[in-house]
Amino acid sequence: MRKSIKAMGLLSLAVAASVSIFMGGNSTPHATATGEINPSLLNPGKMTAEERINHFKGDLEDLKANPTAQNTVLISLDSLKNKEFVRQLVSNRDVKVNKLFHAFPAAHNTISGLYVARSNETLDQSLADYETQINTMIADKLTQLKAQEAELATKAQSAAQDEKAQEDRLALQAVRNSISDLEQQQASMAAKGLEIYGLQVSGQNADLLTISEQANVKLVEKMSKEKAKWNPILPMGGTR
Amino acid sequence: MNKKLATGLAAALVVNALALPTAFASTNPEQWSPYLGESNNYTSGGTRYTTQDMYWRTGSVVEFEALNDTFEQQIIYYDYDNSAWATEGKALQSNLPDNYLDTPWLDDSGVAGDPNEKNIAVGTFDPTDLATSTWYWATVTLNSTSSSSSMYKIYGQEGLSYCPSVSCVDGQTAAVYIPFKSGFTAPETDRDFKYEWENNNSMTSAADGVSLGDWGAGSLSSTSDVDYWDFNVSSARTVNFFVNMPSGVDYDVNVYNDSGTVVATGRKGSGIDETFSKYLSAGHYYFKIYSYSGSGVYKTYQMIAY
Repeated sequence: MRKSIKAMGLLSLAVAASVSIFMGGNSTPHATATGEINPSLLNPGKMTAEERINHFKGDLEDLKANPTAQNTVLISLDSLKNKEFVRQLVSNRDVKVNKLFHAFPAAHNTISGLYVARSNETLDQSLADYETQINTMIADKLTQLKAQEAELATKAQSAAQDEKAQEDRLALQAVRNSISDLEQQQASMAAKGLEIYGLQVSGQNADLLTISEQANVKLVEKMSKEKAKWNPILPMGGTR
Repeated sequence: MNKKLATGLAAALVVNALALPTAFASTNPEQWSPYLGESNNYTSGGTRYTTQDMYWRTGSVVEFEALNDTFEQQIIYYDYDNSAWATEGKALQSNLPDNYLDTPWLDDSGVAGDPNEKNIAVGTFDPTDLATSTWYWATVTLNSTSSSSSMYKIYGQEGLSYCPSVSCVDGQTAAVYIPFKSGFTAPETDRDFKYEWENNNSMTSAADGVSLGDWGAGSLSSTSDVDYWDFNVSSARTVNFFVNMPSGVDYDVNVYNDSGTVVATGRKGSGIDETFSKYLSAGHYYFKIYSYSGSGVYKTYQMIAY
């Protein structure tokens, strides 16, 4: 079954690639001949925020058309928000927050991630658990990276000048950059706590609409199997 | 695969041979795998975590340029005896661009439907944004099973995010960096791995360096290809050697001392893992893998001296 599906996918992709070339190359690989995004080729990493907003803005209308239906939506916020904002966003609504997404724009790379809520936990429990786990992850990762730095420093002492020896020296500088980024995040967490840029919520369309129409909500997308791994739009733009 | 479908696919691939993304034309893992990596599987504050570190060297991300390419690193805890140390990821933090925690729906019973290999995957939707000479890392909170330890496997996947109307396709080609190996079990920390960097075909100047206890992975692209790895033994001891043999090939192994004298060999037959031990004095050694029969870029081996 899976092989057949994969073959179908490759076949279709081959055809899509052909269309792309017919159109004059793949500089906009997700665009079809009509200029619309081909939904079968969606990859959030390949879309600009503007393209994504334009493509999914109709999802809100779908929610309005069926106010009593149940749905799951992915909400992108327009900037990083604290936990209290998230509490307020969904307060007094009969919805379940399934996932939370956080980010921190460090000097070298943006650090981001997500938390999958257990079915029986409250939003407060999720936020508290999320923050605890991120703090633990930062502390543990810093310990690991500092050990790695010591290992790489030993290798980088080699006097060899070949490309592999030079790469060892680049790897040492790179691990120091990662340590610096995490120390920045650790300081930010101590000062401001976890900062959220989106959430995935399930509930009745009417409740989801109320949340969606609040200020600071940038985009609401209906979830589907195809988008199960998608993240909200990173508010700081770019990816690193 | 359905024969008619396969014929159609082959025809489409031929017709579109020049138009297809590069990722479909080449599958050499060296062109898309991290050059260096580290795996940590540990418990902190009563919660289980895995962290995967990935470092792409200069020239090692050239494969990522196609339409919807993704890169995914997967960890699988051995569950053939119901002993998996973890089976699920619960939270993620990473500096990978456009990162994600895999939420499988088609193969939620495991890799390719194998319920004994439940994959926990971190990935990036945009590997074209990966920078060389940068350490990327991903930490995942795991569920706790009743098992206190299990073997684990780490592999990378060059994939794609492509969703026709009724199904998604997410895998093109994969390479194992750390195989299931008795004695190497989670929880454990600081397990390093390296993917070969061609040219590593000579002993004197081009071997890929590893430390005892590090995994090395690579493939022999032709019967004339050889891979040299080198390592140091700081004080006399018995060193164990292991090569996880790809199916259908027969790679043999020589271990040389710094003078180029063979000090140990592995000569098992096709598809049989090479495993042997040798008491070695302190010094610098080379580990050569060569093809007795069989080769090909899909045939990735994993080796370790420990």
